[in-house]
Amino acid sequence: MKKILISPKENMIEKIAEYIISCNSIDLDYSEATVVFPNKRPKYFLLKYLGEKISKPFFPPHIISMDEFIDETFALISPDYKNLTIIESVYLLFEIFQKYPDFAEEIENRDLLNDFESFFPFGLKIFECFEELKIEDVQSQIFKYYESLISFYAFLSKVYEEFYSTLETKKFSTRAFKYWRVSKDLNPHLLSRTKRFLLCGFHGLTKTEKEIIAKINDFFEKQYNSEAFSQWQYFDEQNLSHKPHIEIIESPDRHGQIFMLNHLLSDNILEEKTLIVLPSEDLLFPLLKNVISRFEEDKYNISMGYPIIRTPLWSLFETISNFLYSMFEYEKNKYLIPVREYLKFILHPYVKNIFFEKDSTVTRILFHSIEDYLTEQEAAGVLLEDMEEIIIEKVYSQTEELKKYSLFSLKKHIKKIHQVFIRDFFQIKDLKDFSYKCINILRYIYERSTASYHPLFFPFYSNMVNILEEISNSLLSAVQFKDLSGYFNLLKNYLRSIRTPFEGIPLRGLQVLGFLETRNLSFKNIFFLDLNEEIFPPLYEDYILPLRVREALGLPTSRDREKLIEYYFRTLINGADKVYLFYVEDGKRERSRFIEKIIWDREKNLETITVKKIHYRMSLSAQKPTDIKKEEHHLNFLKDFLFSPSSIDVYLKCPIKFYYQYILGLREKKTKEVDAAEIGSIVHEVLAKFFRRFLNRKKISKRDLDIDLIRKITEEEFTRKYGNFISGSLFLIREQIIKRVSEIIQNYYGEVISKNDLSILAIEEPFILNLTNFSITGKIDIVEKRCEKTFVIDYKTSGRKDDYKIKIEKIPEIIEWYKNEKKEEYLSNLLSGVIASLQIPIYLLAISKQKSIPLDELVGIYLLIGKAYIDEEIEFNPFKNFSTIENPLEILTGVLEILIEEIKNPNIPFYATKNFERNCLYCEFQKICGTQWVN
Amino acid sequence: MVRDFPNLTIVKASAGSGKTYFLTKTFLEFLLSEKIPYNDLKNILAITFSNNAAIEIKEKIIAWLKNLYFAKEQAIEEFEKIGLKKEDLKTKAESIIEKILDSYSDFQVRTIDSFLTKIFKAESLKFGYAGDFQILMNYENFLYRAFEIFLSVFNEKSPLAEEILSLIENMEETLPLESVYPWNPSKRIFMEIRNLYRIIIKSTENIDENLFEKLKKYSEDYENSKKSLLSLAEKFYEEIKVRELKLHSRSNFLRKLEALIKGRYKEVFDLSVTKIPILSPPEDIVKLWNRFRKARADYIRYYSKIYCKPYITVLLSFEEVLKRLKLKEQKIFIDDVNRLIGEKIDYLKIPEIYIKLGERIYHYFIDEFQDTSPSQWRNLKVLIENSLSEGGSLLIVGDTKQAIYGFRGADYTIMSNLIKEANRPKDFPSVRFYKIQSLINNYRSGDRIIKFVEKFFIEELKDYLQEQSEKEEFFNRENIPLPLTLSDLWECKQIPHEKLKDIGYVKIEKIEYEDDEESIQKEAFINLIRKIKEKHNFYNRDIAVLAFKNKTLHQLSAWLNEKGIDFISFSSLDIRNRKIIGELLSLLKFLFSPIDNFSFSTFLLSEIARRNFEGFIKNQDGEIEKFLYSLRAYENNNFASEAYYVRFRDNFPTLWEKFFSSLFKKVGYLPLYDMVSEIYMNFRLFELFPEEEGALIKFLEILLMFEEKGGGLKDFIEFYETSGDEDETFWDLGKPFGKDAITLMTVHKAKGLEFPAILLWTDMDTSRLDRIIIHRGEFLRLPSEKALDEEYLSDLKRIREDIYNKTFTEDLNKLYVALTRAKEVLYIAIPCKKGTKKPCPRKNDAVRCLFNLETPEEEYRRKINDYDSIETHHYSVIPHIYSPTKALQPSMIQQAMPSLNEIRRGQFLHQIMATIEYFDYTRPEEEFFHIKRIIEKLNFELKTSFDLELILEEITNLLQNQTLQKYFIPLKDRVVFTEKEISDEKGALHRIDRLIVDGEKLTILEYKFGKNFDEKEATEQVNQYIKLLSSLYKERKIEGLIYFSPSKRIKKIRG
Repeated sequence: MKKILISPKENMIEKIAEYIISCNSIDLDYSEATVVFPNKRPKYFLLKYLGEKISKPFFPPHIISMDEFIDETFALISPDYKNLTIIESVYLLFEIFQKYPDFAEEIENRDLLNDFESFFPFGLKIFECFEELKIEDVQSQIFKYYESLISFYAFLSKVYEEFYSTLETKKFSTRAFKYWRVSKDLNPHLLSRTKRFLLCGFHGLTKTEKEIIAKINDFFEKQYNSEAFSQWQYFDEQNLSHKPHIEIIESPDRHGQIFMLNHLLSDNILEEKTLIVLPSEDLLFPLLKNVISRFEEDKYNISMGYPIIRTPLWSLFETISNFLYSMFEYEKNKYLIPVREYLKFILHPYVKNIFFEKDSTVTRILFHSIEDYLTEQEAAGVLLEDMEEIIIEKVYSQTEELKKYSLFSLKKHIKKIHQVFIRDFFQIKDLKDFSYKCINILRYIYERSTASYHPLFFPFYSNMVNILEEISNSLLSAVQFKDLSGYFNLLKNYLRSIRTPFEGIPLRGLQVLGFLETRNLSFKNIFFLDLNEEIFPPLYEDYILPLRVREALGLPTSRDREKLIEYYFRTLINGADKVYLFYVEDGKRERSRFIEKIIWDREKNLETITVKKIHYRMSLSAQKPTDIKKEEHHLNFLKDFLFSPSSIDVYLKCPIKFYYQYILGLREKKTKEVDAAEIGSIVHEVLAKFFRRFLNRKKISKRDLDIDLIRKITEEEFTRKYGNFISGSLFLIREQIIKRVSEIIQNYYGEVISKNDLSILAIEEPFILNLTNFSITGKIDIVEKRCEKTFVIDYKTSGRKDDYKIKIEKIPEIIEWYKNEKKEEYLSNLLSGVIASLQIPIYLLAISKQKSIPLDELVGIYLLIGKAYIDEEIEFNPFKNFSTIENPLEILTGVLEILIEEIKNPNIPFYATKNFERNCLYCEFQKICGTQWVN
Repeated sequence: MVRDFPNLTIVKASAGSGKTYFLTKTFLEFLLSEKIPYNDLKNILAITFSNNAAIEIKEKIIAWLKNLYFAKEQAIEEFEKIGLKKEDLKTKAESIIEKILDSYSDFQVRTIDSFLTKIFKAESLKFGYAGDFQILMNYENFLYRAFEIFLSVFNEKSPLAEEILSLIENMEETLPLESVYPWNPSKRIFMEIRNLYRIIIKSTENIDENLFEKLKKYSEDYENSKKSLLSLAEKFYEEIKVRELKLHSRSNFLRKLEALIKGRYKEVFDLSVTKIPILSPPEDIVKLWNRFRKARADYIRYYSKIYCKPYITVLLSFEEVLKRLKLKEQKIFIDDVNRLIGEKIDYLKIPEIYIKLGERIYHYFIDEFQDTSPSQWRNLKVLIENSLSEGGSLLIVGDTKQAIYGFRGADYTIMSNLIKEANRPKDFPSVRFYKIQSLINNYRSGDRIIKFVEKFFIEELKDYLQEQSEKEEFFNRENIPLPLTLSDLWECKQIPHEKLKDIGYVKIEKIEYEDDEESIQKEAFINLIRKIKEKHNFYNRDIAVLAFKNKTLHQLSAWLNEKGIDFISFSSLDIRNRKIIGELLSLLKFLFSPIDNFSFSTFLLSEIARRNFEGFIKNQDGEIEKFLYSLRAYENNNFASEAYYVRFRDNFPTLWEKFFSSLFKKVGYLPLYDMVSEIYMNFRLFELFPEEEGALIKFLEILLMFEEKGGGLKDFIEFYETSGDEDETFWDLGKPFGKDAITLMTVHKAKGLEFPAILLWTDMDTSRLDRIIIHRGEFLRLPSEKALDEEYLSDLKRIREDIYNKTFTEDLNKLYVALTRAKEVLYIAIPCKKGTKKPCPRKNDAVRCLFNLETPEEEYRRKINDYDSIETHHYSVIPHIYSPTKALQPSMIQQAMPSLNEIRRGQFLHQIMATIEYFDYTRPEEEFFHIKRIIEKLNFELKTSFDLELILEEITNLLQNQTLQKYFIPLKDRVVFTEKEISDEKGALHRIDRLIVDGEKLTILEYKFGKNFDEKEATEQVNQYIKLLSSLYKERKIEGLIYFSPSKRIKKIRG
């Protein structure tokens, strides 16, 4: 055997090309030479160098990876054997394990052997471990030897033995089995087509590989000469005479590396001699979007795998599985679907962009209108059948843009979508059936949605279809699970190990490679990203064959793997002229040992190596809202604006809020969650309905306070608003409302009745209060007559008095000051903390005028029905301490007049509150003002 | 230096005493020494509480080694003490560095969580976990999600209905008077259940096996106690009325009795029973009073015992759902890890664990030991004892005075108890005694600061607390307040470093205000900052403002902001606080749901829109605003069903086209990250907002991490709004550099750090006590102090006082941490309202004590000038770097979409044809049988299900084709190649389906099996082959044939 050691400074592939050419000076047919590399990528480089050196078309040598060589050879040795996929191999293991039910007891994991889904993750690990043992030609007895240390080895030995004997019996093969068999049965006849054999770039061989190589060597030495078989390798040069120029760059996060890389990449190094290494796939898309995207497509190659589980395609299946998981059969063949999950499903980009007559816009409008409708309806759950009929009819009637199409066709459209994505999954026969249905979904979105517009969709799509086909045509196609989640879980677990390759051919331009792809290649400029521990070198953990056992068995340990990686890393780096090493320093990640090593090597030689740090520009100042100048149209608007008590309260809190809410009329989109405002409106509605019955009655007696009626009214109200399916928190809210309103009626009104004659004068009484130059309008919850007094009442679901307090005594001074020194300070700022709400005062003024009731016969109260207890304490009268309300109301009328004057004053802008803590915290306009920092 | 083994040493390390220095040095001594058994790198483990600390310790160890290698004097001096010569140290250091770098995985400095996780993974099968699972360090959102699922199908028919409704009843019964009625009780239920779940999962105490039976009994007792309380109340009430008994003035007893009679039992919780409220009570009334008190005590006791019952019942059902969700998503909580190991630790075989971990650990080092939780300790203890029994060691370093993580489950009493048992070891019987060592030097603060701290805790606070309390439970036998002794604050004496003599300045600033609280505090705060800078001569970067609450820091930063003083607030690093990020989210919300008019409007009013629209419309502010204003009228006219964007598109076609149109289309198929990248480009964010570079990049970083989990836009919006289960710094910007800025941070964050000048804002409340505890296997809900002020409840009172003392200790510890951060200048600002009757400030005894102290105003100018300057000058930020996308732009017009099945079928047929070298037309049956076998095998291996007969028919058609037959029969001098590779002059590879060499004649055979072939392309392909071959086979005749399978047609191409 000719062993050729090459310095990392040299280019092994180029050397091999020269060697191959030199061995055949006669013609351009090199096909009798076989070149075996550990991986596939060098093939393209070798071909390229050969092309460059020969400059003519030629028959290339047979360039293959070791795995391909084994496959070819094994096919000749055992042509009847069929290869098993990984999932089939694990299934075979599962069947074998079934014979040893005690195993689950032994490891105290009783669920493990129950079904294939539970077994799969474990089975996969066992399979990988067995394959490693087989490729190292380790006998099953070893487990026995160590069973005193690791108790479940007693079982593993049996399973291991049986697994490979089953393969033989059934004429199946796995990767390791093929290596093992080739190592035993390789014979000269099988190599007869090859006249020259080059084994290139191997470092760290398995036992079976060693045996195979020994046999090949034997053959070529006997058949030809010692030169016919050559082994090529980089030697690990520690003391290089010419070291690469290395720059180390520290980044505060992973993107910093990308942006700095973009900065460093100049156009003139966009060639095959420039390499970007991504040790993990995490940065592939950031690199694509932020760096690569500026180059033409023929200026680069990407060669690495991307996990399919990270693609939006899988997220679609995740959404569907969550949705199917959450729905249930309400009655026979009637399916209740939770609205929240249903919305997630129809609003998934791939679903809402399904074509309707070759265009996806209609589906988007349809689904978002459904979203709007369901959100507005606030239903928690709906029947799938209703979605296809009643609801779509309602949505159709409300949405102008849909009317261009027939209702029938839209119904058909949604039914078809339901059929493919949902109904098909109601009955799953077995894995084959499940896979078919998943493929059906994939085909459907491929052919009938905008999904395929994405340039990377097709590779992910075809990969996923292949996987599903693989499952459906595999040995386990007839496997059944007890419920649907079993199928999805198995699929997800299997997909975890699947990567869609970016193949990176034809070879051209800048090379973006995963680390393993770089083995045996040489580059001038290297940008190596993500040099952080656990990413590079990656973390190796194996608890089935732990370190000590591996050492004893002569298997490669995690340390050996790390050494191997280090060898390839060093030869790669040492071969280059210029190297940029990037890592992240964020207090959580540790920089790679390889960087430490490089630094130490240089330090030892008294050379300095600086670490450049990337910092970002950032601003930390807290944003404050800017004033909004009053324009002509604002003033016109305000001229005719009918103020409401709440609009005035809003202005008092924050004039900018008033501007957004009332002038621009901006309203936040409703969410599905039932909020305090909605609870408030239901409670008001229930109370209104309850009392409306007494409107024309002179006196209400205790007997009228019928509690059962409260339940009836509330339940009706809920059904009207939320439909027939009241469950979960909505159910609890309903029960709480019933309980509380009953308490109000019984404890509070019961008490009122026992002390006074009570009659109801008005419910939701509308009013208009005309003051100088402006009017205020609104509705009063309830007006009651209690003996001689008229009570103006506003229900509040909160329990805090402070939200409605008025410190009357402080007002005159403030007004005085304001009038005299105006312009210095705005009114609402001065009144902050003095007037919490003007609601009751406005009601009192309005009712007094509207119904001509003298003020001293009026009482205005808030009923704080959110207090812990319901008793007379729930009454809050902001003027309780005043013998007459005349005076305070006069003061407040004055305040109102100045306030409205300020609102209408063209010279005073809409300005922001000064009390951010109090007024911005729950304000929906925070994002416009930029006050999110108040939190 | 540790010399005898096994060895257990506990090192008490006060603030600034060089704890990390000590620990790293000792770690290194272990490695260097020749006298320590089992001192190989892989046999030593250092445990820390944060990643940051682990990285720091590793760096320090390597730095020490390098200093030894380069013979740095100080390093050599330190290590010569262990008996190694200078030269030996150099060689040894070198070999250790090489060893560390060679076997980096053996260099074990890990967080406690990562170490226990490693053990868990090693034994995961035994815990019921197989395969890969994710360990969640935080799980609040996960719990909430599970709870939503749990609750979603719940209604009156559910089996749990009764329990949940009774739980709400129970909840209301215990609401404080000032609280709000639980309109939506599910959130509160969730909070209670979460709390209970956490207590259980973190606790090391076993729950009583007969708990449910006991609870059943307690429920009966509880009901009985209510009955007797009611009847006694009625009786009392009657007696008072009938006998016209006089009550003490101000007594609320009668009102309470009335409330009780109405069924409001909880009123008795705050009924004072220390004295009978009746004036000159007759004897029988005293007896009645005592019976009443007893009944009240019973009621409170049983209430406290059964409070959790409905929650536990609900929790049990909830846990089922939680378990299913965990399994479905393959997630597990870090607390599960601790608990599961804890539950099995006695059954696991330690040697087996060590084998699976790789190595036996002989020497354990634990840093910040006061932060260990009981469940972590339970697990570690077993492993450590095993190592000690084999001659190993344990070195614990910590400071109980700095224990401030009780809220996370840390328990400093583990350390105190170990110290207590030092001479009679219980936990570790393998050692004869524990060695206790104190690091008493302070290398951080000026001696005046040290003295102030000492005096405060040892004298002033002690005296003050002695005056304040009469409760015997509050003091030890020597009458020292327990909160001062429990964590050793009582012994906080330190020796200042030589160089720090006569250095330091402490000033307590009382900020008294009347009404205008904010402006007075603001002014005082700004003045203090100025004072530190101007009077004491410090830069912004030397100053840290510390407060106990985030909220306060927000306020303080707003003031600094207003005054234009640069600062870095560690409470406002969350990028969601940045306006631009909020604006981006509005855009995303709009793109997700175009009918979301609010988000669209918000975005139109944004700064991003404003800067981008500039140049496209005149008076853009006004235009956009007017447009939105016009929509208002439009909405009022009932056109609400049309979205705003439609109107915008009509009104501003140029803006729509330029900025929104393509995003609007792409949102359907672009993944989230790609989408946001497009937005960045479309709106030139890096270019227009250079000052927001950090926030913008962090946003991308977060998207990337989010997408790894496979979420889409809708999920992201939810995640943004709920924070997910990420750690507290997940959304934070990295530490900003380059500015001379003041640092603002909470005391918790400042632990372990030091600053030349500190301004401490004392916003400290007394922490709330844990209400629910596990006591002797049962759950107790502790009533208030007032409720327990009763001898019949002295046992509960004692429990409560213990918890109070422990909690108050932790408050004092926080103060200790705060007071010990300053190197030179310490200002303690105490805001307080003037003229209140109660002592000021009201909330915390310790702060009140500080408030009473007087510190003289003194001239003091900075004396130390060798502080590390913050890295203001090191490196520049990234230059602007964004470029427009060229490649990977999707084409909106789709080309004919390839059918996957067609492609696969074609490949399949090619693969079969590749196996056929010749065909024996004399024995077709045998040949076809063979091909059938190949089809079957390929179908199996490729996992395809192509119909055997159809494929065979296709192959048969080809092989039986009259024109082609002759190319499949063997001839003399004929050589056939299938899938023949040929390379062009550039090295690009071409593969010929079948190449037949007949002496001087070459025939290329190319198969086209698909329906949608492109004849032109196929012809070009064969022409290319002919060209390549003619360069290799000059003078030979080359012919090409293309077989189009669907039509069975053959096209000949002449070379």
